[in-house]
Amino acid sequence: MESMSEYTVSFADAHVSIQYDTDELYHFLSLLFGDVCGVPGADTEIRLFIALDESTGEYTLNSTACAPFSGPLGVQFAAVLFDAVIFNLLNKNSHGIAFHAGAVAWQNKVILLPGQSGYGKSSLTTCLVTHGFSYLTDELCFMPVDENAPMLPFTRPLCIKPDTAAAVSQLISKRALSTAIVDQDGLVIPHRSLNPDFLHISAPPSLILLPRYLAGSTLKVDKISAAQVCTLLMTCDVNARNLADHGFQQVVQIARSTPAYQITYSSFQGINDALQDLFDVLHWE
Amino acid sequence: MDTTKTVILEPGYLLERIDNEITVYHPTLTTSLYLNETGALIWELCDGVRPISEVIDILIKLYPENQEQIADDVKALVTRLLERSIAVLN
Repeated sequence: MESMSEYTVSFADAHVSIQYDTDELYHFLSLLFGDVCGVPGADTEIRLFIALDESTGEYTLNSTACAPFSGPLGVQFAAVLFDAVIFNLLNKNSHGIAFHAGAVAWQNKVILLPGQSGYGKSSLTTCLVTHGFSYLTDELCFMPVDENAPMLPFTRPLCIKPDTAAAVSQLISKRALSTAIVDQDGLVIPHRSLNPDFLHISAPPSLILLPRYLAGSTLKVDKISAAQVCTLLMTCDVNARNLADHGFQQVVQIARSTPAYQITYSSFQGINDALQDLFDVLHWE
Repeated sequence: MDTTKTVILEPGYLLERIDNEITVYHPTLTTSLYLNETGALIWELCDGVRPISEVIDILIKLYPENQEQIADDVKALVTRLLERSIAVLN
């Protein structure tokens, strides 16, 4: 048994410390969290523990906030660890709204891709990245109450579920794929492999694009009203319970000030025409 | 649906009117609802005093060309409100 070391993940003024005991775990944690932007050296409140069981060769994740999980260091372990870390980072956060949302950037303008699990955030994010947009996140964006403070994307790897992994593998460069975790549970592609020139973009979103996967549909992009986007954004509000009005007024402000479209798709055939329209919108914003 | 009843909205909801549409969020129920222009009008007529039948009559007078559709629209919206526990019938 090696001695325990500590890896800290900082995001939106919260900090989670992960104690680990092997070099293999250090590399795993670096791949998952090495690109997450936070303030180093701040006080740590939450601790997770990961240790190797030498008798089985599996790792076990323990924390006070969730049930233990054991398994190899693969895609499923990464998913469980992301859930645990994000839960703890946001559990007490009350100075902004965290949205379930992907985000990409184009010419220093941010496109927010909000959606609950299963709506196609990661697929649409991947599609946009392969069309020249810069990858920011496929999971979480934090919008501080202070509108002068920057929006924070949780810059984790791109995580692809097994049902779309084969299709995504065709789109991503071989160089990026060579750095990914790949197994029967999907793909985890490091942020730095997709966006090696990542610069933090502090601008608020210039465009909201809501993905909606609908089996058998042809791709279409529809403008949606501020009231519609406000209603949909409230369903993606991760830390609502921490905020006095569940963040409703902040969401109203975002919805009022940001043009929004819903993209309905079952495949991305025809995406080039749709993207041209979106580029036009971004030019005007 | 018994249209002699009134629609009582669950207190505590947050509402914002944007361009004649309404977005509603209820923090306790953690449910959100979008109402288009027609829905917003129905919502505002459901004041806890008027029975549903009167809401329908008012809208028919305002929009006689949509007479056949209005009763269905009102009942559909009230059903949505009931399903989401944002309202009860009294």
